[in-house]
Amino acid sequence: MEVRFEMVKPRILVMRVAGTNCDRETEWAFRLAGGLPQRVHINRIKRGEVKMRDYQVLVIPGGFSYGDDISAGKVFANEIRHNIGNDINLFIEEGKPVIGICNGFQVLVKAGILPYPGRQSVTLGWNGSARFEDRWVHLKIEESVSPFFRGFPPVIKLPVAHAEGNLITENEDVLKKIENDRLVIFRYCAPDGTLKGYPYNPNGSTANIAGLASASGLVVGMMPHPERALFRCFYPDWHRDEKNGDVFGYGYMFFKNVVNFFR
Amino acid sequence: MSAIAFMVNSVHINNMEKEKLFLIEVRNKTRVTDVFGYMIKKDIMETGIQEIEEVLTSSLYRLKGVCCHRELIRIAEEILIDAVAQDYFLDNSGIRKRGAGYNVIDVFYKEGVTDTVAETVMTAVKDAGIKNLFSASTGKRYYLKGRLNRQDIETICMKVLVNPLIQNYSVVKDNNA
Amino acid sequence: MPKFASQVDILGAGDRELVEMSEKNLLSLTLEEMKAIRSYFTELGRNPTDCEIETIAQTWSEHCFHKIFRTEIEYTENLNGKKKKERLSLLREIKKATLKIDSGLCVSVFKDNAGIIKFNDRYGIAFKVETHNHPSALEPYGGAGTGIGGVIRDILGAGKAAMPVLNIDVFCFGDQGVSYSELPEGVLHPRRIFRGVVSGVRDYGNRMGIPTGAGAIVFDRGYQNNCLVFCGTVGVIPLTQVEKRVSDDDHIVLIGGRTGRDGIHGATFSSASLNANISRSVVQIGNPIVEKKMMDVLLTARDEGLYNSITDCGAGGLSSAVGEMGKDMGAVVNLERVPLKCNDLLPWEIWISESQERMVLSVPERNLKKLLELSADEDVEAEVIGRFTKTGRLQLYYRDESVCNIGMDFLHNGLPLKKMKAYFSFQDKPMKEKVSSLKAGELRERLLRVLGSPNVASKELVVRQYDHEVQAHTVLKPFTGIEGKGPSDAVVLKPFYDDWQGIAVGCGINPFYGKPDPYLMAGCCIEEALRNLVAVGADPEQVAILDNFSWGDMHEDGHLGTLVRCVKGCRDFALKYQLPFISGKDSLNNVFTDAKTGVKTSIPDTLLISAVGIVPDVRKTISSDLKKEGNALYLCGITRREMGGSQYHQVFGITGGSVPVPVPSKALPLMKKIYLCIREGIIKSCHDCSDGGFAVAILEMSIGGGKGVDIFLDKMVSSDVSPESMLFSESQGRFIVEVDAGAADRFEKIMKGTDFANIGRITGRESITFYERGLLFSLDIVEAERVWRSGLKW
Repeated sequence: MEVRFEMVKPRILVMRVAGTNCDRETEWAFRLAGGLPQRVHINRIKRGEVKMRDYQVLVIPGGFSYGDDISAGKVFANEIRHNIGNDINLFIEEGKPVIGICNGFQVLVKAGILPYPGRQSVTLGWNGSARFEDRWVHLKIEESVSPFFRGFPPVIKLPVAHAEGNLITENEDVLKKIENDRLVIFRYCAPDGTLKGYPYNPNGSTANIAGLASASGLVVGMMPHPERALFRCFYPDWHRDEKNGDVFGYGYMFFKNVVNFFR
Repeated sequence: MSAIAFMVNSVHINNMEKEKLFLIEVRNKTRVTDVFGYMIKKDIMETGIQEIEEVLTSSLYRLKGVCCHRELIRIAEEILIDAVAQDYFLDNSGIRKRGAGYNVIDVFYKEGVTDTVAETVMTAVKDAGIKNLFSASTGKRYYLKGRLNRQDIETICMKVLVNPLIQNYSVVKDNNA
Repeated sequence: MPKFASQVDILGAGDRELVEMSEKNLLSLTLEEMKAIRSYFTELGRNPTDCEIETIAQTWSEHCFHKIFRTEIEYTENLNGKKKKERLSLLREIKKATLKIDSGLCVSVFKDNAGIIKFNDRYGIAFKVETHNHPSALEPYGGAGTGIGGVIRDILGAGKAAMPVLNIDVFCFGDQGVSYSELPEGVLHPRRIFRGVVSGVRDYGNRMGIPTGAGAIVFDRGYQNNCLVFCGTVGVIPLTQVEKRVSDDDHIVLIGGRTGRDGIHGATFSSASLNANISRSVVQIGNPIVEKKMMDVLLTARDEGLYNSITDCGAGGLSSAVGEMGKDMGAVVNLERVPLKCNDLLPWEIWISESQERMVLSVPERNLKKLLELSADEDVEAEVIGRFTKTGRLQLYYRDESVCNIGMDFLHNGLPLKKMKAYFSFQDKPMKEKVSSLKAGELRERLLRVLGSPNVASKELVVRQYDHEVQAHTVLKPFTGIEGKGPSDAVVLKPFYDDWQGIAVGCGINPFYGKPDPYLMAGCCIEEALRNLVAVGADPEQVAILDNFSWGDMHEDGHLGTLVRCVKGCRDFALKYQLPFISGKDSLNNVFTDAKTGVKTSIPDTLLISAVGIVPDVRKTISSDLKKEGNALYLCGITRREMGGSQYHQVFGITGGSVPVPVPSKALPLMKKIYLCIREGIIKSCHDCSDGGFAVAILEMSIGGGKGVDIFLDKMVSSDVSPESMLFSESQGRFIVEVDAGAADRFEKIMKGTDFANIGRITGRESITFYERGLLFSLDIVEAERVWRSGLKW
């Protein structure tokens, strides 16, 4: 019995680099959700000490890889392309999930992995306010191709914390295609689910897009931080609840969905 | 104390090829808003200069090395720009493209001041397998539109754009000239 | 004949030449100190090298040695005509309070890079707050960034390294609306300083992945030429890692950033007067990613037990770090091994450079290889630069040439501390205050003016620029309530994923109370820091505090007197509130010299008290936003006419009046009872009354919860019946609490014996209405919110 249980626990590679800073909580989130996460520096993968094929999920967590110098996630994206591009392509071809959160989303987009593999077709530019902002946003869950966002209520809250989250598409056609292919996982919205401007849309993103999936739905990137919303007590308004803060938040549900994908 | 100048391990550049200086300007495509320009315009108006009409910004990369043209284009395209939102210009070709009506100011760090972005550029260039780049430094270019006299421009530089303790500036294009 | 170091002819120098020598080379040493150096080298029978004299100057600088805090002061106090003389040392007085309190909480105090208290049986909490005033005034972005970078390294250098879990930032800036023409040459506009400092702290702190969760911003004309930047970091550390000891024969390993010409003479400069001609080398820009990489490696190396001791390279650079670690033994350093940014540094420059992001480790031979490999694995530079010895000497070499060879004993104990005299006089007769009888409409207008004034207005604009929830442990954020608009009194974290125990952090600062008596300012700051923690549910019996003194020109009469008086206040009130001081820092001589007129201006003497406390279960914390219609509102504590230094007076330019007097005998029992009620769950929201008084506090609660209230001022426990004073007085020891409608009896029973009154209730309307024997005035929440949230401009 126990052996079988162990077998369904997916091994999760939490890839870090100079400046990654959400790796510990992301590791914790996956552990809590029943996965077997491990934080690994990209140098160890480059040197071949750690093999990507030994994992079922790849996560690029939040942070400021290389200080976000030049532009957010750019240097890390190039490093991935130059050094482990083939490994990642293989990983994706095998149908293994790849998740990018915040800086990880910026990296996936700039490495030309999301939304369409091969070349970069969208970017995450500077917030309209020209500042880093940390705030909780409402997100309208879309009926997307991604299996990781099923079972959520129509509107959830998660925090964002970034300076460069303004989603811009290369042109109108790319936007149309993204919409037609149902790649948008959620959008910034007002509490009632309607799409509105700042501060509800914290960065000015095109079509209020907060996260994208690949056509398979298994490669996903998002600006919000689900790992910061594992319990109600991490929400800014949890003191208004009747219950204690120790009930799960919607961030947990995302990680659970990823882990349950392997059941 | 003692002001004896002495050199240890002074960097000797390979004399085989002549080292060159390159400049790359990176700025948003016209359809992408320049959020910093808007903020800087507001700051300039606070100093009392109401004549300012528009501010646009670019990032400048000053590179030193023996790179060939192809390598330089690779550095610009692969490393320095975000292809969806930005364009690049070699040397001062960007100034010509932006046309008349702008005063142009370049701001760079003084030598010896930590330039973190430049350090990252060097890391990224090495990672891309380009070996002939020796050093990099980063700066900002400001395009200022409006009826500004020389005094206005100096005020804008000293009060908004530059901290003379750590930065130098040069007026690359002066509409009064 | 030496090649790399030059000799300084001190043996042949007369007194005048000694003074000149100190000034010319930015040594900031006094004649007495120069003489002590001369006699030391006379005994050795040789002249010192440049490196030796620089080493001594760094070690003996005010910044590193805290001469004024350590020396014996003959202090005369004249209180209401009664003269009293005493001899004291400032540091000793502060430590005295901690010793007397003898709290079981303290683990390591006043000896390491940070104070450490007990969190639970396995972990401790390290806390340190630093100032970075001078550099921030000159280059706000770089100065503030390196300020936060420095204090993070203090936490990494506490014990064998604590893991940083929170940053706090407190700033004092000049009047944001001042015109450019009023600014002296060389002074940046206060708005530029404000934005630069906030951006610097934001970019460094956010990149380090440490949440910034608490702080304060004070605006006053007095900070125009010298801003104040306080940066603090809290860390957690296994109790087994608190003790550190260098072993002789350990390798000296320098890890992190490279050494450059940036930051030479920072330590000696920090105590000098600012003027328009400052050398660039003292200004620095930090590189947070270098520090982040180093932090990742250090925390792993610590857990693997790879080093015996660690300290950060802060003021004085390697000179201070190695000098301090090798104090009781000796050290040999080969300066040519230090990795450099540029190759033309002189040995003495390498030795005292304050380049950022560096730390020094003491590594035993058996672990050296592993440590170097671990660093290389993550692209962190680490280099062996020397070895600790048993010789009792500091020996520096540059390519086999001896450039420094002096006794550790002379370096650390040879400084002749100058005895000082201080005088403080105080007449306890409140200056006359214009008492106005205002109509209801005028009171309403005035309340809105106070609400929108920069010191009272919402700081959300700044706070949102800080990542306050990275590491996913912030359970009470700086802004709470329905849409995150309500301000919190303190931040609460839950540092361990599998444990509900928490840490609360808050602070108290109010320079406006410093005149006429800094003694009371000390009391008010200490109490405010404690109140902030109690208001969120921290245990008032498990709180420790830190002091930061930022004072004016110590060469000028008076400032030393007010400093002593303030330290006495710290000592006395710490004892009365039973709060041990665990660490502290002073930044003296915050003075600006106008190059044109020669006029010197000092900052208002400013004390910051930072508090860290234990929350046994974070699920029992509360926030300040009003929760539920029908719940009762109580004001606990007595309201007196204490408007001196109040925000009301600041806004309307009123002078005089009594500054608030803290009454620990009433406030402490009250706080203990409030804590009990919070634990029982009968208090639903709580906010302390501070800047702006009662009226501002209730408005903030109302805005946070989006709930209207009816307030009956006449029900307040108050010694003054004027509505002006009831609304705006800043009397200490007061909390507004929302009590569950069904638990009012229970609440009143617990609170029995303290001063409290039911002053109103939460209504279903969207207005805040004040009654005082009949309707006084009413405000829409939306209007109040608009004014309060737009008072501060970016």
